[in-house]
Amino acid sequence: MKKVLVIDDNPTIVELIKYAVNLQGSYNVVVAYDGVQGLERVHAEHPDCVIIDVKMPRMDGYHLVRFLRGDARTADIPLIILSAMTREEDQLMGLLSGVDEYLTKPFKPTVLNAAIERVLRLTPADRQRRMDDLVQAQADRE
Amino acid sequence: MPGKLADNGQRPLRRLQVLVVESDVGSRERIQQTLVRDYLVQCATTLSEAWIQLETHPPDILISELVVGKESGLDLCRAIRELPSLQHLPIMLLTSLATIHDKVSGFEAGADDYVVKPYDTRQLLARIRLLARMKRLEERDN
Repeated sequence: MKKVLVIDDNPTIVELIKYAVNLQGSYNVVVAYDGVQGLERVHAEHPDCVIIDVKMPRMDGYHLVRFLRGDARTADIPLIILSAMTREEDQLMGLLSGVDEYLTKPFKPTVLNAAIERVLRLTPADRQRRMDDLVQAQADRE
Repeated sequence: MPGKLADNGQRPLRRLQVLVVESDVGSRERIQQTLVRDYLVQCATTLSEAWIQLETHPPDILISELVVGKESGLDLCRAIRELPSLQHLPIMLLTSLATIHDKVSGFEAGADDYVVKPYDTRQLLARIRLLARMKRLEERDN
């Protein structure tokens, strides 16, 4: 069974996510309630996918994503941000940080499950291509 | 205004100025070799050298080891974050220290990104560029 780590400081949202991901799929869900605890859980649990909130105590979601991507041991874990921050700039920050998908709250269980399935299929080469595209988009702006 | 396309069909990127703070000569040379084609690289081997560079040639981004001889890159991060003029300087820790405690200390000291050695050259080049972009977004928001 695939393991999904949910990192969110709101216990109600955590319960909703746990319910949602098991509506269609069947996942072993583990939980952390802030960014630092999330970092610890990633190293301890070796999840197949991580769902991350942005605004959290101790370490925000963007930093957490960058710090995971910067270490070969965790660089290729599928990462999804699920956040109440809905502006285009917020989504761009997520993508620049290295997240695979940026979803907004409130969320539909079908959308979250589809995103999990998509990110589980990504390869390191897919991530490198996306990073190169983001860099090139930056060059086009300059 | 976008420039002309390069031979590979991609737009050339502006050469950002990077300050590398690294006391180990081998590591410093490797980083310099990695960056020199895409970035303007300055180097410092101690924190006092770094401060001189920060004052005389303020970089677009700072990359520092956590261990700089007998000094700490964390002290450099903290001191930079206390200065209003350098508050938004993008800081990447590029280090061989990889424990969760090291990462959390780096985050608390004000680092924006944390890359564990050995690093993937292509990824490092892209991450530097994307980090600079993220900090500009953050700065615009604040």
